[in-house]
Parts: sequence; structure tokens; C-alpha cells
Amino acid sequence: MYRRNLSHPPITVRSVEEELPRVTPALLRRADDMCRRRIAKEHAGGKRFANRASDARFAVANRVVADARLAHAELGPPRTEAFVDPTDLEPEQRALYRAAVAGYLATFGAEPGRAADLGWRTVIEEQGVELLSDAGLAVELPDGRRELRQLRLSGNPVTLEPTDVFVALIRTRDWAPDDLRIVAVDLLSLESAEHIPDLGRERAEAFAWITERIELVKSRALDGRAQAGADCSGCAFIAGCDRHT
Amino acid sequence: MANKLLADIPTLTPSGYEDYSRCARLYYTGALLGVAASDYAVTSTHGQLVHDMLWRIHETGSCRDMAHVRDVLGGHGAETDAVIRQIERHSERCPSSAVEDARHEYSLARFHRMPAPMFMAVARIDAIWVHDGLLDARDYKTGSRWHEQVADVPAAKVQLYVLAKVAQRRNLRLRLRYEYLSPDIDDDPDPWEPDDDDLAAIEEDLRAAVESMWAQEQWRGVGEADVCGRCRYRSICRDSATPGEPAWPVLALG
Repeated sequence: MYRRNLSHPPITVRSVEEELPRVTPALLRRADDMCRRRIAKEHAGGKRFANRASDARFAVANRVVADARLAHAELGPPRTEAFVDPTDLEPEQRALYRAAVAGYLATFGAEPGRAADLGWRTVIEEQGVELLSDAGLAVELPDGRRELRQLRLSGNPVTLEPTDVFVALIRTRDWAPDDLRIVAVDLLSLESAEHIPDLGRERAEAFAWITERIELVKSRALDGRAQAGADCSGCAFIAGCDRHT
Repeated sequence: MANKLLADIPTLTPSGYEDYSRCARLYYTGALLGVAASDYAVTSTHGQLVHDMLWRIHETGSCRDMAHVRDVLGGHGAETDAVIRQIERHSERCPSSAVEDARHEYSLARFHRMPAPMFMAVARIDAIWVHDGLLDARDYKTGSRWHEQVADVPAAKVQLYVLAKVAQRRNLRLRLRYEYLSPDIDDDPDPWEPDDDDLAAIEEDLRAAVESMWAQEQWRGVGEADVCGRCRYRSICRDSATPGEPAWPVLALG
């Protein structure tokens, strides 16, 4: 089912009436080695009975992307007044935010564009699964070209891994059918990587890849055996795990 | 307020517990807020390379077979004098020729349920050798030596807590050794072979640490120059005794 947001005509939003099994980039990337019980639980979705995991570490990154999106609400260079010092965050987070904004403006401050909202999910109809991910900041350039900006805050070198590219190609299927530039930038180190895909060929590869990976996720989820190890860190499904009774 | 950032079941890692033992604010900023380091720390690139090479060398042969060692190192572009010297240093103390079982870069987890609060301890162990009724765990070190005995290292408590479950299940004695690979360091710190009382005390120390996390309202930093001066958040920390400008390259643009 499709629903169009008329204030942003180029965007296609798929409405999900009921919760589908889900995959994330991390599940797709790590399914070979990950705890199968955790795969099963995360694939099934629904954390109503789960122990709450901490998500504070995403607060600054989410704020930067949200403010950058606001800064590009209209076609033009980013409006600096959209970046408001986040006084509700801790001083260390505010220092990180200020550095990240400086990095964003140093990299994209002179480039006009208008942001689009890709949401958090894309339904893979053929598999009956939804792909959940933060696609990045989607920007439409004045000449109609599409640019997906993946903003990172690690201070480390940047690479675009195959999973990053495949997921981006799938998440932008409706928004960027004919043209796309993917650019990943670390806003602290200012290192970057970019990829301009051959959309016809690479999007087909991306769908072949995700079909194969979803099949792997499903088979591992069906197995469902728990394995104690690194995946226990941050696991939201400790209760009832036979490895921790 | 701030303690609500903790997960229902907090994770304790060796480095996280080490941070919390040093400074609550360091743990808060790094482990909970996930802020990227604002200041330069000792690089771990060389150490990570040596760890990876030791793993691959043992997975596919013996560290005492120098032809094999050079083959592995060469295959990964790691055949430098510094790496070779550290591998040789390890091979002098490697028990692999007499072991019944071995694991490398092995992740373990152990859940503490009662008494409250709950926590999940997780640790990746560099090498585990089973020989002579002993579970002989090694933590390879490529940097400077800071302690006289492993029992003085907070991180060792998390490592032993997760290892103890395995040792108990296999009815093995347990020993944790910090193996210094630099030829410039003559002796390792005294290894730690905890008995049942030690292990009970370790579990209580970890539980008490998590309990104190839940009691935190401000996550106040220690604010002492000798601690702050080596901290990876020294320039931006609210409570730093050595504040300054972050080393993030973007800020050098002015």
C-alpha cells in the first residue's frame, strides 16, 4: 500500500498496517555468526516483553541528522539557524554536537539542496519482511540529482562497506530510481567516501543480496539456539534464555 | 535522572568496568553516551595487529614454527621486526605444545541475576589454554606495564567472572595471566589464580559497582589532574581538571 505526502511530492512512503518480520543492516551483516536466538527474537520484532536496552548513544547523531534535515527544509544551502545548541543534552554531548555541525557545514555548507524524509522502513514484499534502517540524510539537488549523505561521528577513517551500499540502494528504490550519489562523511575527522552506483546493475545485485541474506536470517531464526558470547551485550531478550538460567 | 540511561540489564565489559573504577564520568561519557574520544590516546593499531596475528598463527599451526609464523605474517603484510620480536617473545611462554584444548579471541558472557541488581558480564579473551587441570587464560599486552599483579587490575575481575563459569563446568583450576609481549619488559605481573572466596568477592565487587551505577544522579568525575590528564575526554569533560580544546580535526578549521 502506498501513501503520498503531498508536501514532499518526490517521496514515497509505504504504510505498514501490521508488524512484519524485520531485518536490520546489523542482522543482515552478522547473521552468519550471531546468536540464533537473538536473531529469531529481533527478526520477529516486538519488544513488549523485552528488557530495555540503552539507546542514549544515538542521541547526538539523531539530533544532527534531524537538524540537518530541518536546515534543508527548502531548496538552498543549509540554514545555520536550524542547528540549535541542544541544551537538554550533557555538556560532552553538546561539544560533540557543535563539532559535528561544524563538520557538516564545512562539508555541505555551500551546497544547495532540499531534504526528503525516507522514514525508517522499506517493505521487501517478495520476502514479507521490512528492512529497518536509518538510510541517512536524503537530499535533492537543484538539478534534480539525488544524494544520500551518511553522517558519522566516530573520528575514524570512513569506508562504505558493501552492506552500506546495498541497504542504501534498497532504501532509496522509490526516491532515487534513476540517479544517486552515496557519500559517507565522518563529521569529526572530515574523512569521506563516496560511491556513484550503476543503478540498474547494482540495485539488481542489492536485491539479489538481500534476498539471500533474508533467507539466511530466516533459517537461523528457525534454528533459534542460543549462544552465550558477545551478542549477550545489549541483548533485549535475556529473560527466558536457556544460556542464562 | 541520568541513571535512566542504563539498560535494564547493564553490560559490564573489562574496559567498561576499568573505566568506571577510574572515573564514573568516564564510563558515563564513553559507555552510556557513546561520545567519540575527544583527545588522543595511545594508538592500539599495532596491538590489534599482533593480537590478530597470534590468533591466526595458532589457528593454523604453531608459534614455534618460524617458517609458519613468517608465512602468516607475510600473508597479512605484517612481517615487521617489531611484530616478529613480539611473536618470538610469546612463543617462549606459549603452552600450546601440551594443551588439551585451546580457544583464541573467544567471547564469553555470564549473567548475574541475584542478588539485585542484574548485570551481564561480557569479555573477549585473547587465548584460553587447557592443560594440567588448568584453564590458563592469557591477555596479551603490547604496551607498558602498569601493575605488579593481575589482582590489582579492575578489568581482570570481569575477565575472571566470565571465565570462572567455564572452569567450574569443566572442573578446572583457573588462572589469568597478563602476557607482556615487548622484549623490553622482563617479567609479567603475577598471575591471578582465584579460589572460591576470591571468585565470590569478585562477583560481589561487580554487583556493587552496578548497584552504585543505579544510584548515580550526576555521574560526577574525579576531577584530579593525574587521572584527567590521561583521559580520552579530558578536553570536553564537565568535571575535567585539565580542560582544553578537543583534538577533533574539524575544529582545527577554525
